[in-house]
Amino acid sequence: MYAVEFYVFAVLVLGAAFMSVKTSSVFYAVLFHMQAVVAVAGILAGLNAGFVGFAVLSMSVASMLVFLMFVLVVFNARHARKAVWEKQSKAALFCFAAAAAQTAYLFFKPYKAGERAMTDFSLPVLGDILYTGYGSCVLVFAVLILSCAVGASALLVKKKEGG
Amino acid sequence: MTVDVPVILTVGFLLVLCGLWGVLRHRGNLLRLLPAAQLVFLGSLFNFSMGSALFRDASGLIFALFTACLTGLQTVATLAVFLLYFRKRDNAQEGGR
Repeated sequence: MYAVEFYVFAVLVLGAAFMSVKTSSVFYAVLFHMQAVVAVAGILAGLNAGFVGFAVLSMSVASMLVFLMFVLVVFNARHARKAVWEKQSKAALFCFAAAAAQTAYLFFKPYKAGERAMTDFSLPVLGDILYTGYGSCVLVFAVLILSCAVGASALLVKKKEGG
Repeated sequence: MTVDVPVILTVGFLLVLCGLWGVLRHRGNLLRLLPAAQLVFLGSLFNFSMGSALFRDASGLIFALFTACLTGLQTVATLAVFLLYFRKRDNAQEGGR
C-alpha cells in the first residue's frame, strides 16, 4: 500500500470521526460517520483486503442508513422546514459524491507490477481460515444475528386488542 | 516510504478516543450515542486490520469481520430499544388522556 494513500485516508477517517462527534445534528453525524467508514474501507482495499473492506462498508453503511431513516421518520420528517431539507439534501449529495470519488479512485488507481500478486488476504485464504480455525465463532455470530433478526421481527408484530 | 507502527496505533487510538468522547459528550441523547459507539467499533476494526497487515496474518481480518457483524447487531438492538421506548411512551400518553 502506498504510504501517501494511507495518510490521506487516515486524515479523512479522523476528520470525519471528529466532525461526526462535534456536529449537533444527527443527520450530519451519520453522514460524517459514513464518510469515516468509506475511508476505512479505502485503507482496507489498499491492503488488498477488498472483500473485508466491502463487508465492513456494506454492513456499517446499511446499518447507519437504517438508523438515519428511523430518525428522520420519527423525529424530523413532519416538522422540518423546506430550507432545512434542501440543505440536508445538498449535504447528502456531497457526501455520496465524495464516497463515489474515493471508490472510483480505488477502482481505477494504477497498480505497480506484482502488487496484485499478494494473496495473503484473498477470499479463498480468508474463507479457509474462517471456516476451519474460527468455526465456533462463526456459529456463535450466526446465532446472534439470527436471534437479533427474530427479536426485531417479534417486536414489530403488533399485539391483538386485549391479547 | 512506509507507514510506521506508531502512526497506525495513533490513528486507531484517536479513532477510539473520538468514539469515547462522543459517548461522553452525548450521554444524555440516546440517538447520538449510536454513531459515537460505532466509532469505537471502527477503531478496533482498524487496529485489527492494520495489525493483520503488519504481521501478514489473516486472523486479524477475520476479527475485523466479526467486529463489522457486531456493529450491525448493535444497530438492530438499539433500534429495538428505541421502538420499545416509543411504544411504551405512546401507551402511557394514551392512558393518561
